[in-house]
Amino acid sequence: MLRYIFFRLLQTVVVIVALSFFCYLLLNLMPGDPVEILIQSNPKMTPEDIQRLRELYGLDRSIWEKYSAWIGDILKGDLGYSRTYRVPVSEILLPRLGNTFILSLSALLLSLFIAIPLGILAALRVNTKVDYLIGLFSFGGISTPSFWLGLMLIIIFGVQLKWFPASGTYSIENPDNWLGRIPYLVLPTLTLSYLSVGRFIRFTRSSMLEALKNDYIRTAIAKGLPRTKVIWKHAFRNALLSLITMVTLSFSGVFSGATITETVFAYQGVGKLVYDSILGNDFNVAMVSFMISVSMVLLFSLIADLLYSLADPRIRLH
Amino acid sequence: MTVLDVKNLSVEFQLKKGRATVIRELSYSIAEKEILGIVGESGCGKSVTSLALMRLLPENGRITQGNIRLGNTELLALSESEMEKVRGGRMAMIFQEPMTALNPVLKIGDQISEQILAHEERISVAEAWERAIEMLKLVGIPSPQLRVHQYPHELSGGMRQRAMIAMALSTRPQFLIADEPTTALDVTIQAQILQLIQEVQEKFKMSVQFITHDLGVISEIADRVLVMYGGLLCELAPSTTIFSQPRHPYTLALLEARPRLGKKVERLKTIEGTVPGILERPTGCPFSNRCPRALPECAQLLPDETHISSQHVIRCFNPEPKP
Repeated sequence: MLRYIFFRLLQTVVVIVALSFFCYLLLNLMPGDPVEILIQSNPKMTPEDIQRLRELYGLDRSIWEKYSAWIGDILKGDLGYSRTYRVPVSEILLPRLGNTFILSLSALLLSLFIAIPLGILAALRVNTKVDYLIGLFSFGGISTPSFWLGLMLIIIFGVQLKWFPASGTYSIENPDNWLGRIPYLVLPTLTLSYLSVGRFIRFTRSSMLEALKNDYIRTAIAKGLPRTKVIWKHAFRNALLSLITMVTLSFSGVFSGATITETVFAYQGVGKLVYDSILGNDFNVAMVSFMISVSMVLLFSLIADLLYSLADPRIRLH
Repeated sequence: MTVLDVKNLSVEFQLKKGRATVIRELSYSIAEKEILGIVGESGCGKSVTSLALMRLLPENGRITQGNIRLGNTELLALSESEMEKVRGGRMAMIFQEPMTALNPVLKIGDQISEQILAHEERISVAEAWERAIEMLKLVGIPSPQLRVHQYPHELSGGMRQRAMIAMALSTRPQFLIADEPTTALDVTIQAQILQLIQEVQEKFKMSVQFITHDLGVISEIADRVLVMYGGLLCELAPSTTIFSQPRHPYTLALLEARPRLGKKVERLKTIEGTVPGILERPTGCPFSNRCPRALPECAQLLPDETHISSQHVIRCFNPEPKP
C-alpha cells in the first residue's frame, strides 16, 4: 500500500512537471508581452527603452531559458512577482485561494447534501411522479447557464428583495469578520451548487438503482431486515462505492475556482484572478494557479483510488 | 402436524403485453420435519411459488387469491412489518447464486449477526457474532473465527453457500425454502451441500421446501415431490411413488429425459417443444400441446386436482395407466 502511494506520488510529480512546461509554452504562444502593454500606457517610450526593458525582464531569451529560470525559482519556493498587482504572487494568490475554497466547498457540500437524499428518493420511487419531478429539477440544474442563474438571483434577492448583497466578497468596513462574509456567500453558493446538484442527483440515482437490482438486496429482505436497513446498509453502502470516486474528484475543483460565477458576483476568487491574469499577461500568477489546479486534480484522483480501495474490500492495492 | 399449508394460490404478473397468471390455483402442504421437493422445467413457477411464500414477489407480481398458512399464521393477512418478523425468523430462504446473494462489502459475520439481531431482542452484538461463529462451525466451515471476519469474495462458491445456509439457520427457523441451492455449484460440492441440508434439517427438525430442476437431487433428498408445469400442479406424491409409478404424462416425460447409469439407450429422450411463454398458454392444460396422451378436450379444459390415492394427487384427464 505505502509502496503504491509512493509510486503514484512520483508519477504525479512527473506529470506536474510535464504539464507545467506545456502550460508555459501555451502562455508564451499568446500574442503580445508585458512590454507591449507598457507601450500602450506610455506612448513616449523609445525603441531603445523597449529593448532595454525586454532585456531587463528577460523577455528576449529563448523559451527554454525562461522556463528553466521559472521552474528553478518555483523549486526554491519563489513563486515570482505579479506584474499587474505589483506584489509577490503568494501575497495575492493565497487570500484568493482561501476565498475560492470557502465558496466552492460550501457549494459542493450543499449540493451533496441536497443531491444524495434526492437521488436515493428518485431511485426508490423510480418511474413515478416523484422521480420525474426530481429528474426535471436535476436536468434544470445541468442545463441552466451559471451567468443567467447568477444574474436572476442578483435581480431577485439582491436588487428587489435586498436580502443579500448583490456582489462582493466581504464588507469593506470589516474584512476580517468571518461571520460577516456569510451573506456574501449565499447567492454564489446557490448558483454554483445548482450547477452540480443535477449531476450528483443523476449519479446517485443510477448507482442506487444499480445497487438495488442486486441479488443481495433480495437476500437482505429475505432475512427480515427492516426496509431502512436494507436501503442504507445494503444498497447505499454499495452505491457509495461509485459515489466516492465522483465526489472526491469534484473536490479537486474546490481549489481551481469557478470563473463565471466568481465574475458575475465580483467574488475575489482564484477563477477570476486567473482570468484577469491571462488577459493582463501576468504569467507568474496564471502559471502558479494552473499548477495548483493540476496538482489538485492529480492528488484527488490518488485520494479517490485510495478511498475506493478502503471502501471496497474486493480491491486491495499493491 | 402441518407446518406450511398453501391453498388455491394464484399469482399474476403485470407485463407490458398484458397480465399473465404465473401460478394457478396451487395447493399443497408440508408436514413437520418433511422435505418437499418441487421440480419442473425453467419457467414453470417453482421460484415464483417460493417468492410468493416469502411475500418477496417483484413489484409487478401480485397474489390474486389463496391462503398461505405458516403454522397458525395466515401470511397473506400480515402487515409488512409483521411479515419482516416472519422472514428470516420463522421462515428462511437460501438462494441459487451464492456468488451474488451475499453483500460484497459486508463481512460474513456482519451479514449473519444482523439477521440474528433483527429477530432476537435480548441479544448483544458480541453474542450475535459469537452465534455467527457457532453457525459457521455447524455448517462445516473450517476456522470459523477467521472466516467470520472475511468478505464473501474471500470464500469459494461452496463455502459461500455454506455461509448462506448458516445465515438462514441462525434464527432457528421452523421452515426453510431452498431455491435451487446446488444448481450453481460443482457436482462434488453439490453432494456436500445436499448432505449438509439433510443434516441440519434433521438436527433442527425443520420442514424444507427444496426447489430444483434436477430429478437426481430430488430423489436423494425429498420425502414428497411436487411436479409443476406452467404454473400448475401436475402431480404430488411421495418420492418413491413419483419415481416408481408416475401417473402424469409430464412426470413420466421428465423421468425419461434424464440420463441414467447402466442403461444403454440410442439417444436420450427429450420432451418435444418448449415450455409455452406465459402469455401463450393454452386455456386448458398447459402441457396439452406437448403431451403424447393429449385428448381433444385437454387444450380447452383444465382438469381438476384429483386424489388418486390418499397421498397421490394429479391434474390430468388421461393419466398414464397404473403399472
